Amino acid sequence: MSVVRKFKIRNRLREALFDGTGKRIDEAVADADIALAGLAEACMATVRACIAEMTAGFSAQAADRDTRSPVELYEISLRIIDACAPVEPKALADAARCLCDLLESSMETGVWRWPAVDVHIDALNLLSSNVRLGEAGEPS
Amino acid sequence: MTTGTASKPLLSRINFETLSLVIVDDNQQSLDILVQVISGFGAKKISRCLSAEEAQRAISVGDVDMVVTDARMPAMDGYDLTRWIRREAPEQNRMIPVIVVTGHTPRNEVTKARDCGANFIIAKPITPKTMMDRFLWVAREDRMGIECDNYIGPDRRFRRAGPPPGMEGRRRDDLKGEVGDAQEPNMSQDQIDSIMKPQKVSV
Repeated sequence: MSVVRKFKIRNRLREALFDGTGKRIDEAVADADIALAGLAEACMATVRACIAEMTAGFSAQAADRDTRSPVELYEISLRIIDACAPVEPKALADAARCLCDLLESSMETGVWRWPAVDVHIDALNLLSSNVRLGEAGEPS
Repeated sequence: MTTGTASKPLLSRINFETLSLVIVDDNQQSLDILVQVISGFGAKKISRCLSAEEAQRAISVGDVDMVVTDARMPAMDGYDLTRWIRREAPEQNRMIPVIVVTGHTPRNEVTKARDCGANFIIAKPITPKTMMDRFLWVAREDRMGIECDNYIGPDRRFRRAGPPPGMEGRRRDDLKGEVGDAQEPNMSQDQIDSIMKPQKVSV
């Protein structure tokens, strides 16, 4: 039988974080929001590039989409979610996450549900065409 | 915002300046996002790593206070990195908090993160508020460490423990933050003695 050892963990993070100095929590979050907004334009460019790649390779108009791997599309969706941090609307990330869910089930069952994939790609295109950038970016 | 309650308001001060943090993501832009957020909190000592191997080198050379790692990376992923930290990192860094971030969080990914010894898994896209919530949670919690044949890391059975004092829960059915908070001042030794000491009773 496996022996289980239970021990106390020294919380160095707490000791350093709560020494009574530094920023207020609300200020720290606000500063991080501002810092993140500085990446909004670059991230939006990445999101648009990913959606274009997705549309070219996997939309209804793509000639060879039947021969491609769902893993490829899954990876593109993940890149969109990654880059969405400073980008509005948050629905872009939601749509990409739903596509990941759909693809995961496709990979498990081995059955592509193309109409559902098309809906997600159309939604991503629509949402990205009406996008707002974070505070640091220019609204489109 | 959920970063505080009445007992730990948002006006509490936090000092990220002296923390030594290791941030790992194989995607340059995702790494930039994580670093921007954590720098915004006030962190100055951040090791930026584009691979788990780079992170291993950073963790091997000095004291680290926390690791934030992407889950999906080529070669060694964030889960393997966490396992390495718990078993093979220098002694002083073995039980440091590890937060895994990932774009997609199906149940099997969350279970994997829990079982490799990570403290938390955070779903991308990253928001400063969520990151702050999780940093504060990890800093305030008192989870025990567990070591057995197939696991080393923070106690995984903490779901029913409720949030640390001053934090709100993550789920609808979590206990309230106040549950863990002291409701009255500590008792003096005299008061304790008056309760604990056998009392003379007349029969």
